Amino acid sequence: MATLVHWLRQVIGLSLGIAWGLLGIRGYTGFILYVLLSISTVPAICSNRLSLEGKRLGEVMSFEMAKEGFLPAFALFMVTWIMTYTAVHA
Amino acid sequence: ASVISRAMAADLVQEGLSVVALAALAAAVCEAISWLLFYRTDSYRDMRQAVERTNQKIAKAQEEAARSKEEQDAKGKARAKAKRVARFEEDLRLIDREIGNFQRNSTLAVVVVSIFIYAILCSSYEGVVVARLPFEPFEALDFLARRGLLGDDRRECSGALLYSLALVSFRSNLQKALGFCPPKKFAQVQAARQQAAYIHSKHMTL
Repeated sequence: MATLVHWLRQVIGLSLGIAWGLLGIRGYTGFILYVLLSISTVPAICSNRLSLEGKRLGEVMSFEMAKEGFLPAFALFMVTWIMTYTAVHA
Repeated sequence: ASVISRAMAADLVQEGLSVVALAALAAAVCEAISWLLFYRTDSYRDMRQAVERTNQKIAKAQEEAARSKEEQDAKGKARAKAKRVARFEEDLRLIDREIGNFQRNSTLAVVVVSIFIYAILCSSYEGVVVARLPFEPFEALDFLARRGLLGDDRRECSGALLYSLALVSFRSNLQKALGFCPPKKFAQVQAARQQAAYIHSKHMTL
């Protein structure tokens, strides 16, 4: 479960970093949107796409799982956001 | 002017990619050191097996304790089963601590190598702008974001910032991909289970 959440978070970080860079999103709005989307998307995917429910979904929604892979995903988001923004809008 | 700015943007991207590549290389070197000094050793393997065995004992003892409570066994019997669970949990905490102590040497080696690579990066990229930031960093982060850069443009990114971010991401993901993670600490596993049980009991949904 923790591994699934970790990799989901990395994919979301990478995708949002590229998207934010292409769209030219600037400032701290980008960070706030990323944090909100990252925290809400993972449980939503687990519930809707992977049909997790009950205690397993509860595990995904817990604070411990919110921390799982958050920092590396955030760092990945920052790197892709910065590089894409530099390539397209610098 | 647009041709010049496109060429400058291409230069920036090239510098940025070279920093990211260096971070990827540094992450690979750090994980290789961790594997050589820690994950490859018999001591680590034994400790990992001890963690798995103890987890299984805890799960079994918790089941027995729960069953004993449900069947309303004699108070002494139920207390003895609860004590058994507590004893196994204490064993697991001791193993966690042992793993932490044993990992110290490899952590020290990784820190020394990381500092060495970071010093090489800072001297190579002194005064070089490697990217354009889409935000203005806090002044408290200037030691990283503006390391070695001249001028007042706060949206210029130094190699140090990009390298640090890329290294954090690559190291964690490489560890996860290669399975180079010590087992989760008992306290974290317990906290996750308690939170999951609470969410489930309150019928929280999305």
